[in-house]
Amino acid sequence: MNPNLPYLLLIALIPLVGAAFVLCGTENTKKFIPNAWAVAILTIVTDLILILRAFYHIKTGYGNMQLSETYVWWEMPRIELTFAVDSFSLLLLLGVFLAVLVGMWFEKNYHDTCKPRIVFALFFLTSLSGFFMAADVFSFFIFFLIMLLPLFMLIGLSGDIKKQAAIFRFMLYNLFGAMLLFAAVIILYNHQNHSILLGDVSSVKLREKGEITLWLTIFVAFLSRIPIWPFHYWIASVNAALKNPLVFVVANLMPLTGIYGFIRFWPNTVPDTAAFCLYFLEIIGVISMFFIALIGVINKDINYKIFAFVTVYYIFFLLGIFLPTDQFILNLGFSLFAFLLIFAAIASLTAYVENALERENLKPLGIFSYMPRVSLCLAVFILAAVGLPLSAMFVNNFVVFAALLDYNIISALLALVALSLAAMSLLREFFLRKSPAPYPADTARCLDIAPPDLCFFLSAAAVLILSFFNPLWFLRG
Amino acid sequence: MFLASANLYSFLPELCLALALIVQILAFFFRKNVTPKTFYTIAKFALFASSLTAFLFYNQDFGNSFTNNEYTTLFKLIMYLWAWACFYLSLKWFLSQDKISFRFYALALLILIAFSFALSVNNLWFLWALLETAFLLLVLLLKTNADEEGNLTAMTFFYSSLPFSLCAAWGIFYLSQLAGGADYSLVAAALKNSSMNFYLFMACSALLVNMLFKIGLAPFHFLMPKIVSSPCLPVSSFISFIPVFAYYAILIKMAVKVFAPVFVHFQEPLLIFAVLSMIIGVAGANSETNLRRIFAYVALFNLGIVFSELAFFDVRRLYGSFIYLISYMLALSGVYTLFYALKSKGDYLNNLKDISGISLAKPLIAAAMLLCLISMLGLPPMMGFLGLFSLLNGLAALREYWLVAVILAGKLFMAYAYLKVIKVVYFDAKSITLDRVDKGIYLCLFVNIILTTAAAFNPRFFLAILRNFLN
Amino acid sequence: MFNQLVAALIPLGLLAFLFQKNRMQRTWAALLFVAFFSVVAFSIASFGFESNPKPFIWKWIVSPVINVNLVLKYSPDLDGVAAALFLAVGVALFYNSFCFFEKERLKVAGLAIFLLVMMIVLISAQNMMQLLVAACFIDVLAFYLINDMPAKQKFVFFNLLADMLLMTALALFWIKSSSLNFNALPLFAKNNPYASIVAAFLILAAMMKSGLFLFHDAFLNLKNLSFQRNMLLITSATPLAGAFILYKFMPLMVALKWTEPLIFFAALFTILWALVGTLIVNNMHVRILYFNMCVYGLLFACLAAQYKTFLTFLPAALMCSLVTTIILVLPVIAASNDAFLSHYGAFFNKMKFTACLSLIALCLEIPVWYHFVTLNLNLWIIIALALRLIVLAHILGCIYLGKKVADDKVWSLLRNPHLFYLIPLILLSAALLIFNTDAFSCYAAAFTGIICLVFISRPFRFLNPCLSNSFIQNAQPVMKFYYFLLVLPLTVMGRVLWILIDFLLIERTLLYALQRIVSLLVCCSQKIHAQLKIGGVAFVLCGIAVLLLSFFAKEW
Repeated sequence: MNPNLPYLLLIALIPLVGAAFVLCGTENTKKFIPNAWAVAILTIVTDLILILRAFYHIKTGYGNMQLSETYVWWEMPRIELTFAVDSFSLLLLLGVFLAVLVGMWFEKNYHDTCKPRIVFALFFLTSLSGFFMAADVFSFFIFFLIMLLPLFMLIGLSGDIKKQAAIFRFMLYNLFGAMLLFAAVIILYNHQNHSILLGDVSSVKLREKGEITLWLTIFVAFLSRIPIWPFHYWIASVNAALKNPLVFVVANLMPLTGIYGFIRFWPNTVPDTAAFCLYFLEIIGVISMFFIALIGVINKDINYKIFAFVTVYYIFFLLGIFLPTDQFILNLGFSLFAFLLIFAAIASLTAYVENALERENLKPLGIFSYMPRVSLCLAVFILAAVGLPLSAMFVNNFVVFAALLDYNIISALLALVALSLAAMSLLREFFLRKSPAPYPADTARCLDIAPPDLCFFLSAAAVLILSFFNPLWFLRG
Repeated sequence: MFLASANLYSFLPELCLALALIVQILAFFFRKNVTPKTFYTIAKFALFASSLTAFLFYNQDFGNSFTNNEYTTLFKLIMYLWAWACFYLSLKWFLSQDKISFRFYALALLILIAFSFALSVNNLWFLWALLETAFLLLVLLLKTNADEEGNLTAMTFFYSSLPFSLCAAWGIFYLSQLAGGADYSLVAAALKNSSMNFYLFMACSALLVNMLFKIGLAPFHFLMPKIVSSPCLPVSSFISFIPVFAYYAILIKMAVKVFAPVFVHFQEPLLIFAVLSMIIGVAGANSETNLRRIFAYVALFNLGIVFSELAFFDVRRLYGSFIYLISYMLALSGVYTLFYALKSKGDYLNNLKDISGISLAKPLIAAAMLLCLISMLGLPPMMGFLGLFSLLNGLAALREYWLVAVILAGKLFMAYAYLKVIKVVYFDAKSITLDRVDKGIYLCLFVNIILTTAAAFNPRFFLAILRNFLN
Repeated sequence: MFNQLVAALIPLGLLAFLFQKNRMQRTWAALLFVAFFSVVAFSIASFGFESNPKPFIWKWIVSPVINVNLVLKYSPDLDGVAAALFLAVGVALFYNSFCFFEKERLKVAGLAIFLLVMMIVLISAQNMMQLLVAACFIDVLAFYLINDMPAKQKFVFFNLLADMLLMTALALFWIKSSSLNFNALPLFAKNNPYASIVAAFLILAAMMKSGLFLFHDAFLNLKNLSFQRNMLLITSATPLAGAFILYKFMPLMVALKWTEPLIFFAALFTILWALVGTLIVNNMHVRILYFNMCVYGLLFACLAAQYKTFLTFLPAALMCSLVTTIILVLPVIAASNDAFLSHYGAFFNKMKFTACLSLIALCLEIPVWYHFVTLNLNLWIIIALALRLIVLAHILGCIYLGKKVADDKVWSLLRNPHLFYLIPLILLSAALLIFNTDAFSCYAAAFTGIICLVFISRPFRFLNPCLSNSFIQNAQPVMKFYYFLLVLPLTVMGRVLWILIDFLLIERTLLYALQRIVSLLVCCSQKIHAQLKIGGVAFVLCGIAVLLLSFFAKEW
């Protein structure tokens, strides 16, 4: 690797270049959609290679930021964009790119507004990459804010949201969090007169009230991204209504940004004065998990069930972050990596099935009888999702869960109940679709995925299963 | 003789404009087959000449009453450049509507001359006269190609301003009596040595309120939305930009040169006005469906933000409010350029509903609208973010955290209005067919977007120059 | 030996999976059975005599937080269990090769081989993580083995819960004792206040997996599967895993006073429920399942009463379970798959050989159990064993003796099943005979006589009316209990919370309030700006008032 190459900047910019390529294409030609799709896939794969390469050039561990790159954006006031990575952020990047790759896979079948969707998805990837690679508070905030626009456009363009008011609430709600973080960043910046590295935020000494206000602001900003009660309502009403798999995946990556925010600041950076928030956050987290899991059980919409499952897991990871030690952060990272791939695959395949049902005007009961390939793929991912040992999530969740039990057994047990409920509700939908079909075989024609799609999803499953056999890979030695 | 000729250089920019005006008059009366392009061409060359001469002779003074420096030159350049863009776009309008453009260009040039002079004068009476002249000319401009309602609005504007002008005149009279002259330096010295009493306060307030009424800050804003939305598009675009720059620059100059000793008394009222502007701007923008009115309220909101920093009047913090103003104006000029592009069957579109689904027919126009609105919202990496950050940084340095919170809350509420427009443009079904857009408009849009994004990606070069000028 | 066996079986299983053929399935399945038999025999022959076999150790997880090795270590204690497993899988593979109503022979064969591999991994586990992983993999394999959707669903739900409980217990143990090894159990039990919680979770998990009373519904739902699949599931899959898991944790249970009585009573209730079920249920497949449920009840009772004999008790129980299953399946096959006991009777006229063989096989179980009686087996277990045999004898009597009630068509086709169906029974009976020659005694002989008497007299005939009672046959009291105790309250709570919080509190209160405030602001703005004259004057006056107020405030 050339040490002079702006490696991290490349990882962030490559999706943008891909977006530009797609933007320049003429939508009226027949080959546009396959070409645009191919460009998007190629872009993501290129970035995946770069990320994997980056793993070999860093020392493993959490908090040890490496491959640092600094770019001066503005001199007065001085704004620098600093990028650096550690194992944790690279893991998340890998998981995110894989998730978007899976979400992008079926995009070639959706011809309506395909171009802007691909463009904004790649733009979202750029902003998310920048966010995970941000090493200072300013870069962190900038990318935290930038990603809202492509998300808004993606959700609006998918055209599935029946109540447009839901998109506005969702967007304003996320902007609210971003504005809070903006205020906190300005206070920090002003205090030091320059941007602060993420790890050094704890060195900023404010008065007690100021510190509490500052950290509360930051926490609320991060919480606004996570569907935690009472903030779940806006996010739920949008996420659960998204039918396009790529948009669903992207929208459900947003809570990850809130979780990542907590990971970077908790527990070492947060001062003791603000640590009292922990109890409230834990209580709210556990209540939210339980509440959302219950609603997932009673709600008949499969999208809501997937959303409930995703949310419950995100909050579980959040509870893991709130542990008073960062010993288990890398385990969280590995678990998140597997989780992202799992949920993206489930979302994509489910969206494919739902679209097929809508197109053919069929009911979901027994549909998998005519979709054995989809059924096979979904079975693997759902079994991995519910916690069976088919992915890195198994061992790493075990470790995190054990730590939670040690810290607070009641909240851990409640979390377990919520996870079980979410898993059961997902399984129930799966079995409903696997029941014997009530309609004759020729009613459902050619619904199943094509062999290349099957290969792709089986490859994703193979990655998942490989991650089980080597759940803490590259930590060896 | 040599000294007198050297001092005349200080008037060159204004002289160029005046010369252009004369040529225009002559062309209008004596040239056969005059077209809007004729007047535009004359105005264009005049602006080019004015800009060049303003740049070259940036430090030429004419005695004590008329001074040029980097500060005045900067704003003159800004006004000329913006006027140039405005004239170019107006040409497209006049050509498409097949209307006579002489009145517009002539009045606009006259207004530019008046503002240009007002920027450089150092005498309160001269300033008053020039500003009132400019105002009168603005009223006449409002009547250009106006319908009955437009005429009524113009006259209402005129009559409404009379009390303010008269009060301002009284204020200047009082101050000149106190100082023994109306020169800035004399008045400043007098204010420094006098203690604040009721009459002195009212005199200063009269001047301030007159300026605030003309710039359109709340609570003196009530006619502004109508003034911006009623006249024809060229007039509307001219009024939205040029007077704002002029009054902003003049206000700062007055605050520095004249009212520095007493400005602290106006801090709280200005803050209240600023916050009120933000609130009214937000409420108005969210309630309107007329495009120009929406952006008129957006302008009010952003003016409120600018004045929130100006209220403290820390010379070191002026840079922040200026960057914010520039960034916001760049974005607004992009929006106004788009107004020139939104035409259906020869009629320019005014309503929000009319532009639904234009992203399908005119993706470039829609994308430009999106970029401009992002910049207005303050999202990175657009220039608007830099402006917002600069301003908020300044307020945070002054420990005015509550104001930072108010501004951010206002941005959040204003975001709803922006999102509404984006939603209509991108997510709603197409309602009408748009006419072909002139290539010149695309060119303007392109330049605008390049300025907004290039400045954002590499702000150091552009903003360093501005900073040097302001310093 | 285990590592070599696993290494040989895995490719065999993969072959079965990957090269699934629709044509000549029986041939391929038979070949696979032969290959399996050869591999097992070869492994035993080549490596079974090593005195100190080298274990296979794979450093699976190496990290600062957790270190786990996967170990395949042979131990002489496990001889009996391993042999029973090989036998069970072998018999299942044998039946899989030729029984005519199986359509996915190779897939079943592959799954059977993988189940065996995972069971080997489970029984040779030296640490809890290996145990947990193996148990979960067994669940996954069993999931794929079940080809009936309702059964699959129930199976997954119960076993998922069991796995969650198991994982919770192990996680709690690990974090409190910093160890995943079994030898840390006694110390944990003594010193740690969480020992009871861990024990409770483990007991629940084991009971769910093994299908004990209250958790037996998943077990009984396997009734629609083919018998070789059932055989595999019962003898080489999750229920066995559950029992073995509990065995591994018995050092912890023994240290706590309350666990053994609890397990014992649960086991006894299970045996009682199972025996009653076998007597009143009409469906033969369900009866088979009840009998096997009884076996697992016995296993748990053995664990509670004298767990140190478990490793010898288990193979005997598995063998007898196999024998019981085959004995009860043979009449079903002979009766052209008519599975209702109420249609059976006087089969002896047409199936003399099968009837005699079944009775002999049943009687040959007695010495096996007598051997344990001589080892001071718990009295209640002895009673339970005896009752089980008596009930089995009664059922056999009902099948082979009595009045003919079968359908004419069934009766006309009724004959001894093909020899291939009888070979495993013959071989198992021979094995029972050979390995228990020293267990014959007068008590065993006397009990054999009782069994024969029961076979002839069929003393529980008074319960026969229950066979035609649809209420009893369709009743699912436990499921109803769960529904009203768990499912319904959760559903109601979910709906109430959704309506109360999401709808009323957030949508109708918070959001509505926000919307109203914004609408009010917008409305006021519109109204004020509509009236230019009044509004304008008001605004100006307001501005002037602000200026004046600020001046006077400063003055004061």
